[in-house]
Amino acid sequence: MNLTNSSNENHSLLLTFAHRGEARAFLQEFKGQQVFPDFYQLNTPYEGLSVYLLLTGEGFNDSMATLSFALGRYPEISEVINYGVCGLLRRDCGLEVNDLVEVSTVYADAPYGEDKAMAFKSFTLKRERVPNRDLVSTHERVLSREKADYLDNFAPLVDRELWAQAYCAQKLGVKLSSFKVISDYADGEICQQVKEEAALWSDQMLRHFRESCDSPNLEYGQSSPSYLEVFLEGSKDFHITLSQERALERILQAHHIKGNDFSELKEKMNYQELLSEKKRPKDKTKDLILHLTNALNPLEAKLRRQLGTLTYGLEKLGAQVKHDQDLDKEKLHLSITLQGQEDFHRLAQALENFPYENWSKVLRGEDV
Amino acid sequence: MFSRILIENDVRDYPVTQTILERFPQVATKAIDKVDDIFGRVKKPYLQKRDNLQLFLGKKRGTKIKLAPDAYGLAGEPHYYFIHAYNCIYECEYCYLQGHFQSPDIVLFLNHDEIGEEIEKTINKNGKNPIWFHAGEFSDSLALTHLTGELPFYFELFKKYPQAKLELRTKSANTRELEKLDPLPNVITSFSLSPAHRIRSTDLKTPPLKGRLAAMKRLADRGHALGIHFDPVIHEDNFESCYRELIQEICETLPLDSIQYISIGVVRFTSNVFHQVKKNYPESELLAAEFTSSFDGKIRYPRPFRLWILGKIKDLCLQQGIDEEKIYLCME
Repeated sequence: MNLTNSSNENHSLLLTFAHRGEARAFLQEFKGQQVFPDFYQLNTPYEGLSVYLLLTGEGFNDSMATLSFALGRYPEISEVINYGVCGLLRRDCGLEVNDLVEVSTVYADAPYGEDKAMAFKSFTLKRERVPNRDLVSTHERVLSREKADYLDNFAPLVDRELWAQAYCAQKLGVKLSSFKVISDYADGEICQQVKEEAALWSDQMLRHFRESCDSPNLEYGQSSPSYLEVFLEGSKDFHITLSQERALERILQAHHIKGNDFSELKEKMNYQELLSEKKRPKDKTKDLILHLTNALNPLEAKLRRQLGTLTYGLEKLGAQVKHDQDLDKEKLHLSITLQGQEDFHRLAQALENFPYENWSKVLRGEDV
Repeated sequence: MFSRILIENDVRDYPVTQTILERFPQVATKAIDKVDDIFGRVKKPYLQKRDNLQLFLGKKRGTKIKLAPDAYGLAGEPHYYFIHAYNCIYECEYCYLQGHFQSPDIVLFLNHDEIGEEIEKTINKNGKNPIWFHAGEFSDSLALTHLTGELPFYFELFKKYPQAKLELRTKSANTRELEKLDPLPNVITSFSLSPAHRIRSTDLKTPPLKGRLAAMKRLADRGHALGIHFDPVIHEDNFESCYRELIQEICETLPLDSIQYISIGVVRFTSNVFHQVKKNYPESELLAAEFTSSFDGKIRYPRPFRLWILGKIKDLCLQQGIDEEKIYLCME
């Protein structure tokens, strides 16, 4: 997370922990001030970053309820980082107690008591480091070797909260990542060591957070500008509706993928000329979309031109000519108002002269 | 390659199970009751195939053979595919397996004897009429054959039924096991080919064009029958010259009479797979194209383009002297 970035924007980050013991080092280090029960604002040295801390409590219900409440109350929070301890289900996966791992995908068991059943839905978390591992959240504590053995088919790590938080974060469109310290082997034995080591693990998680904050390669809360923002360079010459914005973003992304340089693109389509035209901003937007689309799909532009040439005789009479939107069917929709016998005669003549064979060939891909 | 191997108790004592395990002595193993208890029970992200790919060894239960959709192969004859594996070690950006199984883990079904029984029943029902069987609908037919060793079994089976054809579909160059077998006129190995740069950019982790052509040459020299799939064809500005070069290279490398058929198909996706492509490969060139939702709900190029593309490639084949009756258009 690069917190000394040049951006003037303020980003809000929420750290979640199931228990106070896990969060202890953070609350001490950053002198957490309670805003409401189990929710704190941290006093961090990171410029441009507001950091909050939430104690979610244990289990699916508590963590989903508290996180929903916090994110609803603070809609400016754009990212959640979950820290906590988890159990290890498998002894042969290269992980050990006290390791800190980043979670890649989180699964869950089925909610109501079935021994061998899983929730189908999974969540892929934001990842910054490798290696990372999968985790399964369970509705009840894993108290038997048999249950642990079944869950281990899906993931090597287990906790009680993360899936619920991922569900909530996805619903609210907030990024989520998770870092877990492995506290014990989840095979049914209650481990006294868990309590004794809690303070050390909290320190370990804090150290990880601080290192991440100081890393120049990681940026929490930063969003890169959209393709449209880059292309327009702040221009106010266009009036762009939401659907046009989506279309432009998609077209510009496609140009980017094709390796088309935006400056060259502007030059080819006479962008400056488009800007200086005395047209309404919304008409300029339509032109912009048309130019960019044609540049992206020259073949389709050629095809449309060919069809336009073939239907020109009808359009000249004032008819509106529409082809099947996807050009999937050989059909033409004509709309025309006729007044007097002369109009009827001219339309009949134009239809008589319509180059049907050529038109059909174009739509069959034989004359493109 | 694999993070773990999960083995059904029912196949634990199969000799091939031991052979596979010997190839991966470092990989952890685990005994399970049934593949179906685990595989596909949760949605495992497709790209976990890069760093967390599990291998399942088990028995195929239930349906082992399925009738193939229309235009799957040469028209006028029934086509079936049999299921002896799920998923593939390769990573083609357009692959429909992305949206099919909800897990990238590889499943190898080892009860080929039972699959073979169903094949024989289906052949017998069809009498002496021609009938096709395809391997590789849900996996690559050759990529792992050096591990799985099933090819001799299927060759023996199809030797008994000359009216039945077996197609092994592949993108691999792993023909080692195949080369050990005497060719049969009714067993055809078909290779999916694209221009070399397209394979590099889109067919991730697959052998390069040169490798595939060399494998085809080795098979042709040994008398094996070959098929070619130009599928999926992906349009780009210079696609015509790319395919001209490709077809020329094929014709220079292989004797034309070794090629039994050439199928041509333009890239297409179900909406689910297209969604997965966007998610898994947001920078893919595939996403720069203008697709539409076509007559059957699949995402394709607009009809005039795809017909034009199919026509162009067919023309290029004809120009190189390939018989017209060997060319068919796939899934259109």
